[in-house]
Amino acid sequence: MQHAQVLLKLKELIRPYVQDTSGVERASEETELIGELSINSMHLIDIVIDAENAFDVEITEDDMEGLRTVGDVVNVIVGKLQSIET
Amino acid sequence: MLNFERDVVITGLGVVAPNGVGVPAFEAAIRTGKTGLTTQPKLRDLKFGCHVAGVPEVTNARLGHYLTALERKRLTSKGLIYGLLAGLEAFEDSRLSAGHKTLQRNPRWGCVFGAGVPGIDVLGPGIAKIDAGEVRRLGSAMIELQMPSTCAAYLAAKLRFGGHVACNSLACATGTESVLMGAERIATGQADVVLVGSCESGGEHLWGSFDTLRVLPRQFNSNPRAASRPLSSTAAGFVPAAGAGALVLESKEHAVARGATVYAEIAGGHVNCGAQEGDGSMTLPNPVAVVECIRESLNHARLEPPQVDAISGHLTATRGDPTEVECLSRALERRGSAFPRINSLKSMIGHTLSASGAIELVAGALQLSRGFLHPSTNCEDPHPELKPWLDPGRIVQEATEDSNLHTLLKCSFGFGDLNACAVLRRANHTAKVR
Repeated sequence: MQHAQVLLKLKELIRPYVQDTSGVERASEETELIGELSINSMHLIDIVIDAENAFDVEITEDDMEGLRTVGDVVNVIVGKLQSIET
Repeated sequence: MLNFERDVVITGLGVVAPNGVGVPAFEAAIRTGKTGLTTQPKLRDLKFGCHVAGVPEVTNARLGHYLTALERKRLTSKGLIYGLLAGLEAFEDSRLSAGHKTLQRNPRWGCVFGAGVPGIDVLGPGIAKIDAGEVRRLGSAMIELQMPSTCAAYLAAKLRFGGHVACNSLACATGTESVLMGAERIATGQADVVLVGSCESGGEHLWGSFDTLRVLPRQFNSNPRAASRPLSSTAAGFVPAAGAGALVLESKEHAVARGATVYAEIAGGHVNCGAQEGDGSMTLPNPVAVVECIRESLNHARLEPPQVDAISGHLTATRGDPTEVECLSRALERRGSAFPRINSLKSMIGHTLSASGAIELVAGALQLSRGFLHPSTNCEDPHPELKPWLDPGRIVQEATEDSNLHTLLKCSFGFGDLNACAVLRRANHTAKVR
């Protein structure tokens, strides 16, 4: 799956956890999950589970270390998908 | 003995009941004796003896009105949802937030919102995940779904309660106890407003515990409307149900100062325990303590027994019903045609367990403020053991208008031999009445 497609799908997964959904519309890979989208840090766990289900990947505790931006999550998912394909 | 120094009034009501969700639908239902009981195919498939239950029907529109999309996604426990809907409706009904764009945290506002086993309908999948070694995939909501206090916590956050926020649990007496605890906070000057009530999820994983005791009726699976038969000679056990009830309690001076309209007053009440002495056990109350609870509740309300106009019984349609009526007769020293009029909401909605006292007190407040008594259905054949104590004509068989209804006694008796009785009084003529 292409980077851009993962970003699009991820934004849909993030949407329920954001109070101001226009923030999700405007979000780029640089957008901070907690700092800018005001996502409750507790809900990052849920976003990861939703992403695992949606992309059929496993995201480990190590992968979750340092997840700060939307792009960080995209990169983890793309990496997992690529290692499945190879 | 509870300590009441200030008058306490009811200024808001909310309800999620098997025969009506929201106060207008609920009131219309109880006026017409509408049943909320249906046959549940799942209970049949799981080989329960009783296939009948009372399950509220909550619309997406109602959920969307009170809860955010994220709350609806995460808070999957039905009891929690019912409690939130009832609590938020009651607060909206009280108009406490009228004129405020946003609420500010208020240390003089609090909450006593009880629960039985609210998360029981959703904990199974979580337990299975842990047992399968998948704890990392539980999701952030799991702890909220496990804690009985979650409903109280959410209500407090949404409504900005800054005082004492509590969750009580007293089995079938939970709802009535929550009302008395909240009233006491106000009456002793610790709070001006307390949201009270309780909720129960229901579902096969809770109801199974009662089915296995053989205390649920097995003979009415194809006739659910007839299944819940308090006071009847053919009563065969209680019908399990789910839901929530909520009331906003306020000090009378606070209510009058803001021009609030009131449903009724909490005149008084009492909570005690039979200690499972004498005839008392885990499942049946000690009659000595029941009589004491009723008498003390009247003493506390400064009411003489002849002044009790109507009784909302606990009356579950088990073998406890005749004993309950005997205790009432002895406590009030009223027999035969002098016994107060009596009804049981459980005849229409079954036994909502930890939510029962709260839902039944919502019905009590409605009856007092509007001047009517709802019917106690399925009682065409009164139990013969009632005969020494009350004239069957005292059982409210049809909905009855009564503009002279001034006081109502609510009794709740919980597993564990735990008793709670509340006395409601019609709002006096100086309060604006709904």
